[in-house]
Amino acid sequence: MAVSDASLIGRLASDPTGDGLRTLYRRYGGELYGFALNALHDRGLAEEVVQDTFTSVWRNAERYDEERGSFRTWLYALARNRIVDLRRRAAVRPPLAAPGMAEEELGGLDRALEDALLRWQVAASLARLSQEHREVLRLAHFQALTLREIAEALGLPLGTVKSRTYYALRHLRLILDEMEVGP
Amino acid sequence: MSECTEIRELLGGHVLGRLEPHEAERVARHLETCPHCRREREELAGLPALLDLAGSADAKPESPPAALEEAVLDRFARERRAPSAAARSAPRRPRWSGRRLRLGLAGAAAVAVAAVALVLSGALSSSEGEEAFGHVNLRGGGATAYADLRAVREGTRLDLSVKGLPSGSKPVYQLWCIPDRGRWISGGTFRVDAAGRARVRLTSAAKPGDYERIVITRGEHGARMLAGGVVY
Repeated sequence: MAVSDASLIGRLASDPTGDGLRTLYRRYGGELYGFALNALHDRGLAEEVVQDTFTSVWRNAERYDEERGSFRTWLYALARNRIVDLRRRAAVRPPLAAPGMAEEELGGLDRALEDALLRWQVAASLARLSQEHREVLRLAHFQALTLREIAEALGLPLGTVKSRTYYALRHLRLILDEMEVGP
Repeated sequence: MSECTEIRELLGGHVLGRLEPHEAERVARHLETCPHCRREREELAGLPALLDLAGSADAKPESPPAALEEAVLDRFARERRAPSAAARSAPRRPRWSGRRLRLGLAGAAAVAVAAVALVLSGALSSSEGEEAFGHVNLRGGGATAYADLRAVREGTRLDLSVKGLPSGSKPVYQLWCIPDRGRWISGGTFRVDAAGRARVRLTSAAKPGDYERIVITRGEHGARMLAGGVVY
């Protein structure tokens, strides 16, 4: 059985091998990179965010409290802070910003980051579906074909297309649940 | 097949709005009286909006470069090793501050690395701002780079901006802090964009005062030196 995230974090401080951090990276590094790339549109900066975020993870491991939220939530909070820093570093400040502007900008940035994260999570979930499941969703949702038209296009019995569409959505929901994306 | 089983197989098409009208009506009638199937539908109801966010069923998320995992773990290893030594050295002023710079890469050629042709000019100035104790200009092979150096608990933090590095086949570059004698100390790896540019923050376990030059090599193991700048 896989070791829980919380156990791995608990051992980071006394782990000279880095194996715990490697396991956490392999669980979350890919999605974190995708999120950062989606938010920053710059591979170099996205890599910087991932490096800095995992560094923050082990430096602050003792502050992680499983009861306050999942590791993923904490990880994304750390990454979000780093992305905000980078965006501020890159931003050209308006010369006469009105009071309160910074907070408004930050609120907008948070929403943009949430959207970027969600976009990445849905794309990553779709990528984990089987080819058959992805295909029916492509045809039904993105190409707006009815299930009957899909059955004709693919040369499949209509019943097969109906159940395949249902199970494609069920599987997608399951993967999104794993990623903590709510209904 | 029970009514619920039949209806559930239609729920996918129903949620996506792709059933024939008579099938959609049948599902709607069933949902009015069946809380179990209603709950099932509610669980799937938000998916079309989420799919719209992806924009395509085949929008494959880009994977991180393989070198990133090693870079994360390398930094972990370096920073775990470094704190006690770095903490001792951090308060003292870097010993080269204020000295004149030495230009050239003659010393670096002694290291067992196949150097490619490069022209180098380096400059290290005294502190700029609160923390930066210097900066280095790196040149070579058409590339130019600039790095701010800051003393940190772990050793040296380098804010590096580089342009003009070859970007074909997406090479991995590595930055090194090089002492006059002894082993090169890695500052970590990075990649450049299609235009050969990168802006990265790297951390080396090398302590201020313990290295003389900074160079960029191509390849994770310092196989090919591309640009450098002197610290003295």
